[in-house]
Amino acid sequence: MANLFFSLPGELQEVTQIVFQVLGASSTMQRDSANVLGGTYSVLSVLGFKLKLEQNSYDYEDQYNYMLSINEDYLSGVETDEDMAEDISDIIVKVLRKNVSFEIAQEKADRLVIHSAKMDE
Amino acid sequence: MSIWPELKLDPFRRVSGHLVFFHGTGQTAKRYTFYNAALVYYDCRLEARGQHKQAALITTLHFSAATVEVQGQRVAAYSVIPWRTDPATSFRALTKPPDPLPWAGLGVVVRESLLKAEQLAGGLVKKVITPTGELGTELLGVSAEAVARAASLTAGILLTPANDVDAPGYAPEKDFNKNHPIPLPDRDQLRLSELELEHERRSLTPDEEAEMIALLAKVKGIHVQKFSDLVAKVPFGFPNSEEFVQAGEDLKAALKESSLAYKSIGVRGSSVTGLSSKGGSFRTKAQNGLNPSDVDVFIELSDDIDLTDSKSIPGFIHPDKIAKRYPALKQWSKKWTQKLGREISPGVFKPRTFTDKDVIFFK
Repeated sequence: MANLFFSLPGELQEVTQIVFQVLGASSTMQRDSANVLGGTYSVLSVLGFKLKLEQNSYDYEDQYNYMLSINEDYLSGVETDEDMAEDISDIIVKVLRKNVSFEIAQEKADRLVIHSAKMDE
Repeated sequence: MSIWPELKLDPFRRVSGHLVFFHGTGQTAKRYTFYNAALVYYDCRLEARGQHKQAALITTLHFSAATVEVQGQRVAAYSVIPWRTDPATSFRALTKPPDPLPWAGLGVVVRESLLKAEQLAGGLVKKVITPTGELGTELLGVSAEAVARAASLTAGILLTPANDVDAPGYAPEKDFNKNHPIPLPDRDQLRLSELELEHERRSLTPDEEAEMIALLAKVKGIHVQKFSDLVAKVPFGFPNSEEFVQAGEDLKAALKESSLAYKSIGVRGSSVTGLSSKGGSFRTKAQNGLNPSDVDVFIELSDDIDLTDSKSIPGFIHPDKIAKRYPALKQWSKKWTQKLGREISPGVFKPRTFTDKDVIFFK
């Protein structure tokens, strides 16, 4: 599992459009859960992983108000592993850095790697 | 014990009695006996916004007991206050009648005194003669109540003495303990409440189940043949109670493997209320492009752990953080997500931070 963090103004629906559109998702799904802040999250299933965008209640809440988590999609039936989750996370960071202008924080082995907006590639 | 009528009659009266503390099972935990306690402080306070948003009148009374006895250990405060009783009889206060009878001529004396007090309050006289003699010559500043109280005090001196167990004329029917029986709690009701609470939190042993069935019949008149006949609540998202019970058992095993001590575990959110936060009801299967609703599990810890909680939801530890630290819980989530065909993940709460009321416990 891997986690990315952003700080963006706007409601979940708007942030979902910004983030998932960049990732090439034509349609996403909103779901509700008592175990997420605000009771609602957006989810996209791809390559055996579940990309879940939610209001951040995980950590670093003072700096980032949204979190995108990459977790194995238990319902997809696709076999994956932790390394693949990290790889997917790295790819998402690369794609986002090329296409958005906000800072992205990536949790790697319990430390936070900050990817500043629109850095040189 | 009702001390109000006694204090109303005589605010200087001393009272004796018991305070008995019970265990939940009905046995006496501690007996606290006090003798010759005098009212030394009285405070009456109005709280405009008390409990349940209603005004409350709060009365505080402080009694100072001459002697207290806890579990047979007696501690006496050798007071120098003038109304201290004779040491030979002070410890027999509980066998004394609570209300000594007044002297027959007292009524006349009190009536006369009150009449003079009324006259005094009305400015009719400047000299008052109480039943004990001349009180003063210029008493216009003293209220009628003060004079009446003086009369009452005088009356108190004239009261007849105690119903001492060793004294001649002792009347057993006036025995303090007989007249002030200690109410005992209904032990069956207490035990049933205890079992019902435990039943909410965990699986009862076969003996406890049998005891609860018997008590349900005795206390509430509910008759069931076997324990499973009691309606079990099954959250939405589980096909039947067996699956729900099994999920709970698996979760307990995962918690044990993770060395996590918990106070309670269960399900919360839309699978309990049946209502989705996005509107509509809990989706038991995919509908209109929407996935089946998630099942949200909670774990209320009894011991703290070193994972940080959410700042937005105090005490809440995100399921991803839990899954990273505790592989057994991650495996549990995977197994039951696949089994139920819907997301199910545990949110963990630090001790004393879980406040949800709409929950169904895993037993």
